[in-house]
Amino acid sequence: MKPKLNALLIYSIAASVFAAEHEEGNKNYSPYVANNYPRQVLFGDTHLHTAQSFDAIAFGTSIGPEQAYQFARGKEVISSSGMPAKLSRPLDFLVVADHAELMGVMGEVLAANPAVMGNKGIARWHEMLKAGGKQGLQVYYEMLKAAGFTDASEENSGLPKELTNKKMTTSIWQKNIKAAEKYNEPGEFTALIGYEWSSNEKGNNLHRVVIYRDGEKQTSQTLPFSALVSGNPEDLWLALKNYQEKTGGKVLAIPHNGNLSNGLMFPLVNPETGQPITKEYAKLRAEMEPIIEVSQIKGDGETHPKLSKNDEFADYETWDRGNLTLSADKKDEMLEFEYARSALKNGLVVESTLGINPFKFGMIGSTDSHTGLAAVEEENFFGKLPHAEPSDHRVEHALMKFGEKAYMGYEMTSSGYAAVWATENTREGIWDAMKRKEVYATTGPRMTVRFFGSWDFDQEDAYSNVIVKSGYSKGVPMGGDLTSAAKNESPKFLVSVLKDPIGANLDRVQIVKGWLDNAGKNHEKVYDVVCSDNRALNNNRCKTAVGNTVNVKNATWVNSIGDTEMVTLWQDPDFDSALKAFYYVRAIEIPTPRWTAYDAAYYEFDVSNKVKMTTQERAYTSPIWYTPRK
Amino acid sequence: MKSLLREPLFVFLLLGGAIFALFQYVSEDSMPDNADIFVSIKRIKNIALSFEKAWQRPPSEKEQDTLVQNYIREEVLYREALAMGLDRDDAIVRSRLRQKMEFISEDLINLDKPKEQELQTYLMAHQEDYRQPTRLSFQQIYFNTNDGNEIAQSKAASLLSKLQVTAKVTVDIKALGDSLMLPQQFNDETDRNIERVFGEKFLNSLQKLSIGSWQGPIQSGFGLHLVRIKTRNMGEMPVLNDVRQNVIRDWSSIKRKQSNKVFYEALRKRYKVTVENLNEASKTSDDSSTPAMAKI
Repeated sequence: MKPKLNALLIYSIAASVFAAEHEEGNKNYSPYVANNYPRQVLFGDTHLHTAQSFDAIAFGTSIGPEQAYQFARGKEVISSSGMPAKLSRPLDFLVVADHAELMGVMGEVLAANPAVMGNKGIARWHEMLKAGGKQGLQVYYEMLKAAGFTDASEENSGLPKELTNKKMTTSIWQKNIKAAEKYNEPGEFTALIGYEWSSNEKGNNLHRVVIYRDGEKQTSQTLPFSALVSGNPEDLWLALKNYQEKTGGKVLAIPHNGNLSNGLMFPLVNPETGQPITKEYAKLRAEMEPIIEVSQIKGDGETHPKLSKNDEFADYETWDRGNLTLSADKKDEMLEFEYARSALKNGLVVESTLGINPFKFGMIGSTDSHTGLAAVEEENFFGKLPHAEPSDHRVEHALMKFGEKAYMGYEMTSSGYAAVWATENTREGIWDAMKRKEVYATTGPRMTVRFFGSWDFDQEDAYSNVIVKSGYSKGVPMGGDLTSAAKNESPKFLVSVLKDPIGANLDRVQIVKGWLDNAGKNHEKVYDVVCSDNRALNNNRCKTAVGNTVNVKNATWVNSIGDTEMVTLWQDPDFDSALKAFYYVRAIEIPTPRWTAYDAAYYEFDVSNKVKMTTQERAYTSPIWYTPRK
Repeated sequence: MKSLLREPLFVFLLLGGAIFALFQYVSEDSMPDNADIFVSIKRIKNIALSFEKAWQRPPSEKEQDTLVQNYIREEVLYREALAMGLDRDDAIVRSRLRQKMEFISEDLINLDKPKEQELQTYLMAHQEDYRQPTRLSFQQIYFNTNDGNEIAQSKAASLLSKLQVTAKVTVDIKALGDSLMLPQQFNDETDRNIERVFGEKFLNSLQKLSIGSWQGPIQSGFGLHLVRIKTRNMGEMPVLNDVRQNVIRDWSSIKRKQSNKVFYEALRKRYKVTVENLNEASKTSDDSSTPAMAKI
């Protein structure tokens, strides 16, 4: 028998929820008076490309920012490939993050603007873009190559100077800002202003999404910082700091796809200098990059099976064949510097030597879709590119081809969304929650996850009807810090997960711990803390697997296994108050059909064995860090 | 004048005028007879000005002469090229002209600021999009389906009959039903929020229930719920001033699509288009009333 939990554990909206209770003493009747903690989680996509991105134009995307917002808000639109598309539920916020590189210019190449047509190479690209299809894609590959974005070949000519055109970029940047202003409705739907800085030297992905807290007045004062100006993340951070100083605004950057960086995303040795990262680097990074995008269509970046050998759930939508353009193969020694968990661990190492942790980040998911459609539910997956929108052949056709090598359609991950514990649905509310890391990643489903750490929680807090209040008044939420452990006291964590109301049940909830030992070596351990269906816990693992109800052929499943909700108070059994540590929650759903199964069932085709047809979707929270007081 | 702008025919005529004017402007230096080239003072000043922009100084007399000669040369070759139809097969020229026409179309729309009455009409036609959300105050008692749907159903039914007997007495429902991490009481909650918390199915069932008594059970993604609705406030229709910005935004978005369509179709009507059929050797021909776009 589960303990009776009353209201408000997860979702506490109205101040007068306890209308039936009586007033006592001088305390306010409402337990929430003077409390401004986040009551409702908001779901959104921080990383959506529209027809304004240079590559999206090459790919034939026709959905611009306005339609992208309409779609995110729950309206039906016609996709680039001509299919009607609609979300199951509206999103709460969206960041249209078009590439800063060649922003606006590609549209002018397509339209044969004389300002760029004098160059024969560009005139040739124009004709290819107009032809569209494979020829359009070829322009994308040639541009990447010319910019040195694919490999280090000698022939890379650099992009024609005609393509660096401030006037054109300004025009599209203003257009994107205007569209965001038009669709931003505080309290209802938030359109944050942003873009993507797409550093890709030699094919190694160092991309960042840049998100402003501000509106038109400030954001229109500067142009997006382009990786064609500098591909060094430190230069991006400085540019963003300059923006803050110049305008009084606020901005942050979100790295993504460390898995395609070939060991460069979370480095201990700065690739720019060949020297260990400095205190300045660590400080700037910690300041400008409070969160990372850990899951998206180009694979999941929480951890890698080779890094987390004792983690049975580590091999999830792994993309590990090489860098973004497959110009260099993956080597095992790169992995440590590509994945979130190992970076969080290395952050503790750096902190113990430099005094600052450059990798003290929270985690979100987002799509990186280039279709203008933020649609990553398994049964409603609109793919990464227009030619990867639903069809009877996208599964086994190439998604992107680089020479002889290719990413295949079935490798796409239908993921993810950013979940944000904001105090209000506004630019300020969402941005501030990101800055304080009170966010989590989901691979698509909208499960509700709470995570608090404290020295003082007791069992009553897990059962009390003011559990969220206890969470905030006695402890810290996800993204927070614990210090000052009392002697022989180990931290306590309050975890609650509620399934997506229209999604699958939960298999288990886990806490992932990383720590740094006295010898300067870091470690990790995964604890199952709740198992569904009253399964026993044995040695920190659910004794048996949850089972599987998926009918692959029909792409169906039933919620006859798994739990609707999971709640627990967990205390670290292996705590050492002298050692730095971090803890985060990973919540896992029961098996459900993967998007490939929905495709095969709808279009009635057979797939080869290498195509995965089931998945176990999940959420990752931002960590809570423990730092011993000196 | 503004209402006239909404007449496709008028727009078309205006457009014809605009194109004619544009043509006149482009060829303002030409005399009626196309073999004459007249270089006006205004044109010379323009030429000199662009030189000055590039060089940060006015052109010398000699330079200006060269520039004018160059202009004449361009004009001669331009006219001859047009006469020879060299523009026709040039993809770049075609794209550029197409873009210019599309700009003209967009500009026409921008001229067209919405009238109060027009916004009002749009609002009336799309009332549901702007209606204030319906707000519900209700209590819910949850039953999980861990032991199967039937057991949950019977547990719910048995509690429901008890609650209906004691309908007049205020019951503390805190201890009733199974645990769920959601409030048992919601006050003035919007339908959108109820849907995001419980799912669409639950909301649809809830909307059908009457006010006052315990009813159900109804289903959500979590299990079964007995519910009692205390109040239901149907969302009011906002007046235009409450939602003006959004109405303008949505009206313009649709207007832009329509106007671009009207613009194109007006032009398209002037052409009889024949498309050869690839598969059969026969030809399909359309009369001018069907835009070619619709066929693709």
